[in-house]
Amino acid sequence: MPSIDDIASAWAMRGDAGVLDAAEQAELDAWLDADRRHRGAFVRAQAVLNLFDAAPRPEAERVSPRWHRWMRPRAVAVAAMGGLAAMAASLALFLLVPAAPDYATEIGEQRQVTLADGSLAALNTASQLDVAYSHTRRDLTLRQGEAWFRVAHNRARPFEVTVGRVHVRATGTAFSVRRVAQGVRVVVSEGRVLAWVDGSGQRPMAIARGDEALLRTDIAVQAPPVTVDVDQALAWRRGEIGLDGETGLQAAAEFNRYSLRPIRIRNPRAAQYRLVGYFQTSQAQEFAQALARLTRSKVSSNGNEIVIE
Amino acid sequence: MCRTVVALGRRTVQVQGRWVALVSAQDLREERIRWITSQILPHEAEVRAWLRRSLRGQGDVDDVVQEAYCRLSELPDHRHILNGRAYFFATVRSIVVHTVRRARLVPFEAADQAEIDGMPDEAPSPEQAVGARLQLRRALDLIAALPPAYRHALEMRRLHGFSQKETASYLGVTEKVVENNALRGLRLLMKRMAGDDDRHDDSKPDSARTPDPKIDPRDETAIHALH
Repeated sequence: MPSIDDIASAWAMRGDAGVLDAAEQAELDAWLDADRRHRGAFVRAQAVLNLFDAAPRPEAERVSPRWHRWMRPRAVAVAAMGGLAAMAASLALFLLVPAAPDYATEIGEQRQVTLADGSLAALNTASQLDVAYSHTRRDLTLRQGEAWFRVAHNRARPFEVTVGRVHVRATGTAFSVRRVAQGVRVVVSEGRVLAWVDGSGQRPMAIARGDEALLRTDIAVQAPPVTVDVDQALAWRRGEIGLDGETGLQAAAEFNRYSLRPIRIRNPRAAQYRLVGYFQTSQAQEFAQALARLTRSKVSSNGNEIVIE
Repeated sequence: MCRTVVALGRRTVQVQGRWVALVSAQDLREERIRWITSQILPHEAEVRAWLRRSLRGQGDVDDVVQEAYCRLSELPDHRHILNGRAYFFATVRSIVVHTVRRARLVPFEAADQAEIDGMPDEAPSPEQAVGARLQLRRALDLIAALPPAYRHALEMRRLHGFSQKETASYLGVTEKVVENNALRGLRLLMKRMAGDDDRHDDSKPDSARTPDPKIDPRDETAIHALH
């Protein structure tokens, strides 16, 4: 005969897997009403199951909601007046061009938004993000660029970021996602996420706090996550570029993400020179001069580019 | 009826210039379970050890513990309880003294009154607060020590919000296997939380696994009213 704990654990699991139908709920209620020990065992089983949520997760955000420029009260009134015309126009546009992203940044621009559920999204330079929330899911699509998320905890509504074929799922945690040539780079600053590539047949990879993983769409088997300096990896959120042994070429590529005036390195010594330190993303010119001094090369710049030769 | 107002989530309204949270009965139940998970459950093994000594095999430890959880779940409010461990002990003591003994279900030859009186019932000292975190960390270590198949089945769902079907497809097994593994994992964890050492049975964990050193449980006491 099953013990009280056996029955209580089975009910706790069934209740957790989904909403019980009316008959099941009636059966559970009858069992709970029959004996106080049943109620105690059921509460205890739920509490044990809850241990999985007791693992560290980000603290509740205390950020006050921000008005987006287009959401300010006056702007709303104006928008309402122009609503009909806008609707007609957007319908026409909708048929002609792909929908504009929900949130976007220009080259060199960064932006932080509070989403409807209280989650926070920080967009790095040249990024596009779509947000589609429903009652059961929080789906986001990073069309391009890089974004960091602090996810408001809600186990019942998984938070999933899709980047091409790569999916990153969290319930309450903080992580960044970046589109790179080979795939998607994920850095987890708090909690844990699961990431996987569609159609790879591979199990999802768990990425823990302080780890980084590159999910490649060009190969079948992924390398395991590695520990990184999260502070450096997320330096962009402070408007900085953190360098830890990157070559001049790699560092220049990093700066070029933020600037319409790219750095071109023609000097092989400068290209291979390894750098350590933090720079402001806007200090491309200063960076180029520092690199040139260190490698005894020359900088020349015009309106279109900064050349190290 | 619950008279408590607990700030949960963002469903807040402004009443006479103050922020008030809208809380459903379901929210309150979940909040209570979370409190039990973080403040009560970690001390269960210790409470059971005390009960075993006190009852000397003449009462059912499980019965008393289940009654205690039932009472804790029925409290009108738990936010005044500063020391979960002390409250858990006091609840169990009260059950032993007033129910078990009076009903003469078992001849209760307590544990010295002194031992009962010596049980903590003050606000937690800093050491005790640290102790609570350590206990919770120990509880989380028990998760890490579960057999991987059980742990995966539970984590995919609880931690990552995968449905049973999704979990099955990602783990490459049937839904039935996921369901069974999750249930076995939960039962094993319930036993181990009780302090039952059954680690030599077939559920022996993979010895190569060590608990994740990064786990740094916070005291989940962050319940605050919004003002």
